[in-house]
Amino acid sequence: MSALIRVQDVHRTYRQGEIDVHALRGVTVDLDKGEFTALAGPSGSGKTTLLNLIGCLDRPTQGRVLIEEDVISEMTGTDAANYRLQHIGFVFQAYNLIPVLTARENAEFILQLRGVPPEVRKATVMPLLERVGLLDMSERRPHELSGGQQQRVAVVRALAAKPRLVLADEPTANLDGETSEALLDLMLELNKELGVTFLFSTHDSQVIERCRRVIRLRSGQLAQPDEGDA
Amino acid sequence: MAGNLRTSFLAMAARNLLRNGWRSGLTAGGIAVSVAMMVWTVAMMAGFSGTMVRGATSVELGQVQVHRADYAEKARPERSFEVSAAMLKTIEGVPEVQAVSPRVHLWGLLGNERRSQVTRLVGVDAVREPKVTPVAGAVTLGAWLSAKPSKTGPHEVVLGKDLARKLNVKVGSEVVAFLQATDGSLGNDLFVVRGVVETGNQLIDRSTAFIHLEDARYLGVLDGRTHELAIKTARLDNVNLVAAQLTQALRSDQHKMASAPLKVDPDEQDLNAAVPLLVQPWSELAPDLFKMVELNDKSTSLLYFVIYLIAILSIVNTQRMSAWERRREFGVMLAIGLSPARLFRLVLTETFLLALAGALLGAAMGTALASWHAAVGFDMSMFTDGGSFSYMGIAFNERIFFKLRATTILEPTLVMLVVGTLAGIWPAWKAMRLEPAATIAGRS
Ligand SMILES: Nc1ncnc2c1ncn2[C@@H]1O[C@H](COP(=O)(O)OP(=O)(O)OP(=O)(O)O)[C@@H](O)[C@H]1O
Ligand SMILES: [Mg+2]
Repeated sequence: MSALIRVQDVHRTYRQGEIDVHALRGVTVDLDKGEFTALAGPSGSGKTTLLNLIGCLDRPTQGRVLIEEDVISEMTGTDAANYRLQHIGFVFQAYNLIPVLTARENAEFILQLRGVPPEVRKATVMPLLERVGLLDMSERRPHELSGGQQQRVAVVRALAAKPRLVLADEPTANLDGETSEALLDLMLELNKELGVTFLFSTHDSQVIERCRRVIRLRSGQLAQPDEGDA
Repeated sequence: MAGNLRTSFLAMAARNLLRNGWRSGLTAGGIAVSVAMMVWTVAMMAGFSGTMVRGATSVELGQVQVHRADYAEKARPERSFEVSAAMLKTIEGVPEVQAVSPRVHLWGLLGNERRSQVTRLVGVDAVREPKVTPVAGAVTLGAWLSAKPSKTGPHEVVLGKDLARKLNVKVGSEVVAFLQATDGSLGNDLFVVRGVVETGNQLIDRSTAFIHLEDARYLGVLDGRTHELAIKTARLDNVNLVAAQLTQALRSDQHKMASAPLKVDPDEQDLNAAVPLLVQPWSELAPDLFKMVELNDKSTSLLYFVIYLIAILSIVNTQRMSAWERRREFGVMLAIGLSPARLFRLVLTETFLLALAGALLGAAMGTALASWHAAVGFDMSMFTDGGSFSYMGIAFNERIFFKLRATTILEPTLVMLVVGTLAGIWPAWKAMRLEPAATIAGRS
C-alpha cells in the first residue's frame, strides 16, 4: 500500500533581510492513511514549516510533497485554497474560530463554503458536537467557550468535512495539562473511530508519549531515530 | 446553495459590524451627517436661488418677455411694436401662459419745484399688470392705478417707496415728469401720486414710477405702440419650453420672429421699421441672475467633492483598521479554504452595509430637516442681525424656504453608497492578499 503523504527531500529557505534561514534541510518522510503521528522538536526546528508545506499553505524551495497522487507542492493561489477546502482539516494553536459565528456555525463553516445545504450541514455537525460533549453549547459564540471547548469545536470543524488528513499545529499549547490531555484523547478516539489521518506538532512530552509514531525534527532535519512504523 | 452562502455572508458581515458597534456607529454616523448635510445644503441653495429667481421674475420681469429684437439688443424708446388684441389672445392661448401685460418703458426726470429724480417710468395696463406681477399687492400707501385712466381727472402715478421718500411726496402730491420723446420733442406732464409700492426689488422701490399705458404712450409719443410684453407662466422650470412655444405661436400668427437679438446700428431711426420680435425667458433677460444660480450649482459640486473625499478617507481608515485587527482571523479563514475572492467580497460587503446604513440614515435626517425648513422656513436673522437682507437687488425676509427635490435626496444617497463601497476596495484587497501561514504565525 502506497503512503497517503509523501514528503520528498524537502527544503525550505526563508530570506530574512540579508541572510537565508534554512528552516528545512532535506526532509523525506511518508505518512500512511489512518496514522496518528506527532511532530516533535525544539522551538525553531521546522515543525510549523513542515506542516505548512504538507497543508498546502506554503511551497518548498526544493523537493516535492504529494498527497495521494496530487503534487500539492506545486499548487498556488486559488488552486491551493480549493485543495485545502476539499481535502485538509486544520486546527491551529489559537484564533481558530470565527468570532461572529456560533460553535455550530463555525463547525459548519467548511461545509458551508463547499455549498452543502443547511440541513445536511446540521445533520453532519450535531452528532460530532455531541460526540465532543458540546451539544448544549452549539449556539454559543467562541468568546462564551473555554479554550479547550474552542479547540474541540475546531476539531469538529476539521472532521466534519471528512478530509484526507487533519493537520494540527500545537493544538494543545494554550491549554492546561488536563485539558490538553482530554483533547488528545478525543483526537485519538476520533482517529480510531473515523480512520482520519492526524498529524500534529507538539512540545509536550506527555503528549508525545501517547502517540504511536513520533517524527522528530532538529534544525530542519529528521533527528534519528525516527521511530516510524512502530 | 450559492444564494444561501450569500445570505449567510451578509449576516456575517452585519455581525462583524456590530462586533465593534462603536466604531461602526461612528463611521456610519459620519456618513449619515455628510449625506444629511448635502441634502440640507442643496435644499437651502435651491430655496435661495428659487427665492431670487422668483423675486426677480415675479416682481419685475415676468418669466418670459417679448420685445422687438433690436430693443432686446439696446433698449431705445423708438424700438417699439404694435400689439393687437389678437396677438394678446394668441399669447394667452399658449399652454402654461397665465397672463400677459404690455409695457412701455421711458426714462425721464420726475419731481417738483424742490426735488427731482431720474426715474424709470413704466406704462402699464392697470388691470393686466397685476396678473403678471404682484405689484398691486405691494401697495403700502394709497392705491394701485385705477382700472381705467380718467379722461378728465389728473394723470395717476404709483411710486416706489424709496423714490417717494427721496422726492418727499405723499399720496395726493403732484409731480411733473419731463422726458425726451421718441420724436425728439420734450414732453412733460403733471401726475398725482395715487399710491406707493414696496416690492423688495430695488430697481422698482428706488427708481420706478408706474403710470397708465395710455399716458406713457402719449408722453413718449409712441402712437399706441409697446416696448415689452411681460408674460407670467405657471412654472419656473419649463420657461424655455414655453418661450419656444410662444415663438412658434407668434410666428404662425404672422409676426416676424427673431431667434436672437439683432446687431443694429444705434443711430438708425427705425420707429416704423419692420424688425422681428424676440421671445426671451428669464435666464436670458437676467443673465447675471442665471449665472448666480449656475454658480450655486457649481459651488455645490465643490462642496460635494470635499464631503465625499472626507467620507472616503474616514471609511478607508475605519475599514482598514478593522480588517487589520482581524488579520489572524482572516488568516485562519484563508487557511481552512475560504478563497481570497470570497474574503474580498466579505470585507467589501461590510463596507457596503456600513455605507448603506449611513447613507439611508443621512437621507432620512437630511430629508426631515430640509422638509422642516421647507415648511416653516429657515431663520436667517442670525446672519443678518434681524430684519430683511437683500442680494443682487432682491430683498429676502429673514426666512428662507428650502426647496427639496427627489434628486436632492437621491443623488447624495446613491453616490455616497457607491463611493463608500468603493472606499472598501482597498481594505478588502489588503485582506485578500494576506499570506495565511505568515499571518497565523504572527508575522504580518
Ligand atoms: N516566514 C519566515 N521568515 C523567516 N524565517 C522564518 C519564517 N518562518 C519560519 N522561519 C524560521 O524558520 C525556522 C523554523 O521555524 P518554524 O516556525 O517552522 O519552527 P517550529 O519548530 O514551528 O518552532 P516553534 O516550536 O517555536 O513553533 C525558525 O528559525 C524560524 O525563525
Ligand atoms: Mg511552530
